[in-house]
Amino acid sequence: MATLCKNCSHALVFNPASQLLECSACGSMFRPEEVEAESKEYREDLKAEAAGEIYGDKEDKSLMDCYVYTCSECGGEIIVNGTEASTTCVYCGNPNVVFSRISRQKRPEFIMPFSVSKERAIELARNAVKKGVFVPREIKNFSVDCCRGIYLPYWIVKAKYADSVVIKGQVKSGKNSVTKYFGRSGTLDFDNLPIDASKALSDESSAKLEPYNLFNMKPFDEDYLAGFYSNVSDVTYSDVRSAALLRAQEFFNEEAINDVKNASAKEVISSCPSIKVDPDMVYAMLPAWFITFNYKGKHNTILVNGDSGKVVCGLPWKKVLFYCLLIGVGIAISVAAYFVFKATLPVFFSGRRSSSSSRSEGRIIAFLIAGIVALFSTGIRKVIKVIKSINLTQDKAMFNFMKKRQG
Amino acid sequence: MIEFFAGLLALGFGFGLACWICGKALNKSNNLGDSHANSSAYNVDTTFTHSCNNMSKSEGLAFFDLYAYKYNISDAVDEKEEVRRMTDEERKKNRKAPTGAFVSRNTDGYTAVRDEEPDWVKRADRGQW
Repeated sequence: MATLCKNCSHALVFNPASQLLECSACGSMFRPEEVEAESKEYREDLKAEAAGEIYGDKEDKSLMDCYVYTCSECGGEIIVNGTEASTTCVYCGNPNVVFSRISRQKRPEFIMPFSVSKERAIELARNAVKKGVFVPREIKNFSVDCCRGIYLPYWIVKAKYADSVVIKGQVKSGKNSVTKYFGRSGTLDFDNLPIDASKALSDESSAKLEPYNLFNMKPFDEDYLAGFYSNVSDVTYSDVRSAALLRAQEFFNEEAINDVKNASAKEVISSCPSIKVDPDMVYAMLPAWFITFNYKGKHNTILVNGDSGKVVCGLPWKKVLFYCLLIGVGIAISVAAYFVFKATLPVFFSGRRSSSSSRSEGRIIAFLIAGIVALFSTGIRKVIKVIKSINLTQDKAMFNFMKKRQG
Repeated sequence: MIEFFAGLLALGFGFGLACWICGKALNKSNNLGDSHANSSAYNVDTTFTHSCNNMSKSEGLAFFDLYAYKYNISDAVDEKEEVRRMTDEERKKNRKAPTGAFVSRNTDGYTAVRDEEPDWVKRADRGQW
């Protein structure tokens, strides 16, 4: 159901710029908390029903696994999936909230209203994309295929984490460096870690959208959903615990590594993570814009944090330019390095042939080779990171999460 | 010989450095928003109870065996159950003292308040592993 204008009974839509509910017909504006609660109560008995129950046999596999909801404005049938809580009518374009899915215990406690408007989100995405040197021109001037504001469900978790880690590191001992081990054992408490509560959206994508400033959250009101899409939680306690454990482990390892001083090349080699999550979690809805565009037959989805405006995506790159630049820069540096090495190497090798000087020569060569390997591996790791990010942007599951909605 | 060796090292160094520069430039250009929130965003409080430096490998393993511990999974909820908001009664059971709630559930919005002695932590069965 949509919240209707008190003056003309037209459906109201939430405007992120003004933070008010606006009527496009008569121009009236209302604060979401002003809209009377009584007018919403009767809508809770309107439920989204399984398509199988309406159109025939529940076991009939020819029917799509979806739910049917009736638009309050035009009576049209709106198709929603099992977790959608708000959508737009495909026939009349009015916003609809599936009240039965946000009633009682399923009702979120808090909501962070969109503060970035649709136009601003597209502008932010365009500005971010335009800066890229390796971004193809077609992408820089991409035409938006679809742009949807979706409230993502989150559980804000309070937990206590315990771990004992062993860190391996290199410590200087005279002129040499030796491998040493460092132990750190302790606890980590966090009060408000948001964990994505939607199975359809990958945890990696939702984690990249963070941070959200949780102090911008407001007590939940269905009116904030007007004009946007939203999903309800479909994760289990076990899913939340696993996600919280992974995030806490990242934080703990980072702190433990930073706590080890006077060592280099530090890495955690063993750990024993354990977490206790408070089952009394806070259910909240956080905003995100999903912008899709088509490039060479593939769908790409750019995510924009609906509160901070952070843009998240991995973009296809100009491979010819990249490899030409790699070869060009490689040849230029190699030529310069050749003259430097040609002039300096004889100085090292033509000196006294004592055992100590041959040891230091060996060390210099080993240092150079190790440096070359490190440069190659760091560069390749960066390229792999970009490829992973592109795969996430072109992920069909994410595209379907956004696209398979009416309106 | 020196010239050949200098050429080999120069090629390795040149293309290694080029790979690093181009990889970094590509990451900056095409991988947007590739960062997670850091620990300060979530009031993360880390306390190291035991620490040991400059150990040998065997001492490291001994440290791990000695100080590794883990919490028992809470039996207050069924792990396979979908997460839901607690009812007031469940909340009372979970948190004996209603004061010091982590989020003040009022009409002004979201306010984080750190518990002094949260009951659920007291009840967390923590022991030597």
